[in-house]
Amino acid sequence: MNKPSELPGLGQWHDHTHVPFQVYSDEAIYRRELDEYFYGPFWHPVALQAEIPNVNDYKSLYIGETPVIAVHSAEGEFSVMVNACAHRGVQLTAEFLGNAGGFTCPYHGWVFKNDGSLLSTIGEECFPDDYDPANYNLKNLRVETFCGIVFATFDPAAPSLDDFLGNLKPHMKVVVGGGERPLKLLGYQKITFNTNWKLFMDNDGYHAGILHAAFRLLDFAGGDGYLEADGHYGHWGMNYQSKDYEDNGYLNDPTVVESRSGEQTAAGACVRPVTQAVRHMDSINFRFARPMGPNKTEVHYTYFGFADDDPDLLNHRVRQGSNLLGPSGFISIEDSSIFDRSQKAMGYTGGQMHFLKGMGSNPDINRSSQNDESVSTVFWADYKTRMGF
Amino acid sequence: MAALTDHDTLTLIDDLLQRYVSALDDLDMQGWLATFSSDGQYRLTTQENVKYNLPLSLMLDDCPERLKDRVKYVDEVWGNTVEEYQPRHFVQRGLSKTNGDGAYHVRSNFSLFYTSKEGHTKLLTVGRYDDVIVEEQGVFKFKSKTGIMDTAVPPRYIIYPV
Repeated sequence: MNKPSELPGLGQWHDHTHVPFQVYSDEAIYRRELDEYFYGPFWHPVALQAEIPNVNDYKSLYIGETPVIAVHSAEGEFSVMVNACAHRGVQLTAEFLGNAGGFTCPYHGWVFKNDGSLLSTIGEECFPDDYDPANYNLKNLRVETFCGIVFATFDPAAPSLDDFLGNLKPHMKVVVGGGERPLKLLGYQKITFNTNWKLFMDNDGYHAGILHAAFRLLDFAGGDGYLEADGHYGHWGMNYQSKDYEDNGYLNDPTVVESRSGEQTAAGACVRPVTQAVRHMDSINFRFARPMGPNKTEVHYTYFGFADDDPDLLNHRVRQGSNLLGPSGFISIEDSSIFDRSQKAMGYTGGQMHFLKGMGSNPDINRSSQNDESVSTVFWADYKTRMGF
Repeated sequence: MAALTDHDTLTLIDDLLQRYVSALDDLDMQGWLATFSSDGQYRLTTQENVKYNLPLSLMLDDCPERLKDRVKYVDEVWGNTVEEYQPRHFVQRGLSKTNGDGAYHVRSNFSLFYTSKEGHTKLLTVGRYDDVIVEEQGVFKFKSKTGIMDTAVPPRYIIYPV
């Protein structure tokens, strides 16, 4: 394979805080990223337990370009396996969410248990003498959980999930309300962003009060939070109490921006390579994403409340999730626009992305104000090394 | 509920469906608002959320105040930040029913194309409407309009109501 470092122009990439456009658009770089990031030593959040709460519940999704099934395979236990028959690679289920004690391949009738192990085949008496069913289980990924979030990795050599998440853990914990209270799935908003997966993840703190007109019109910005990166993979998180909205008369229905739960109002976790977990006001959402080539990213905004919420609070969370912070949300729609508008120029080999705000006189690159973009550079330092540039 | 066959009533329903489509295709948000009754509601969701009995929506204007705020978002807030597109709706009325209480339950199919500023056209979403239509001061209006998208993953973000 053509190594990315041999690609024209990239020999010039000296400073990881100035990223060549080509990195966001080149097909060969993208193919290598699939191996390094999606099939390499990264843990991918695949589901929350609240999406598959009962034994035999499953969810289909993609890690990188590979379809997988996340299954609640036994009480409190989860299996994640490639959604492809161990015989001839046929997709075992096309359902997004379902409940099944096992999976039967439609092609030749091979049956697998819900943990991916082979249960039965048809015509085994005519298989070769050295056929061993133990070699024909589904490809299982390593699985670990944290605070009701199911993670999986293809890489047997990946570090433990605990080491992988590092100092992101407290931020993630706040997003899901501490990890003890069971969550309740409220629904999905799925969208295609016509942008590179890294551009989706480059979204920073610098832009928030500038891009999002809603914050200005509602006089609803501020707070003194900070962003904290992990010094390694480039995860970063935040959690702070944002000020409550005070009705300034702009909205006809200000109830939709109220914070009613009494819970912490702002938290976020940027989990590399491509997941975001966000809590804002009373809205809790995980943005599960997957790259679809260098120029396209599919994102599933997945919303939660708590199982013990009273009906009014649950309805309030549904209203906020449906109206404020999704791909077409009152506050967040402009992010969608920036993703797509930024990608348009990425084919220009002479261009660079510059990360500046927060880079001046900053003693700790892993910490910045909530309105900086400097913590994003921790990812780029690691990326440049990991990818061999 | 009985199937609605009265020609004059169906003509008035068609007129409302056309006013709705014309307002959106003309990016006339006040015209869109005017198709709802004084207690009107609008919801846009996906067949997937409906199938799994999940209440979350893509747009949820469950009171007249929220309908008015949606007009504000489009006309005042988002402005030139979002990438505007020309919507083009194709709507076909399906089965209409009534139980004689003055409310008409109308199902119709939609396909919605969008054309970017750069002039490229694609299908944005396909689905159906489940509407409840009432007469208010002599005019047919939506008491509730629910768009249910077969398209779980649109090819770009949606700005305007569908």
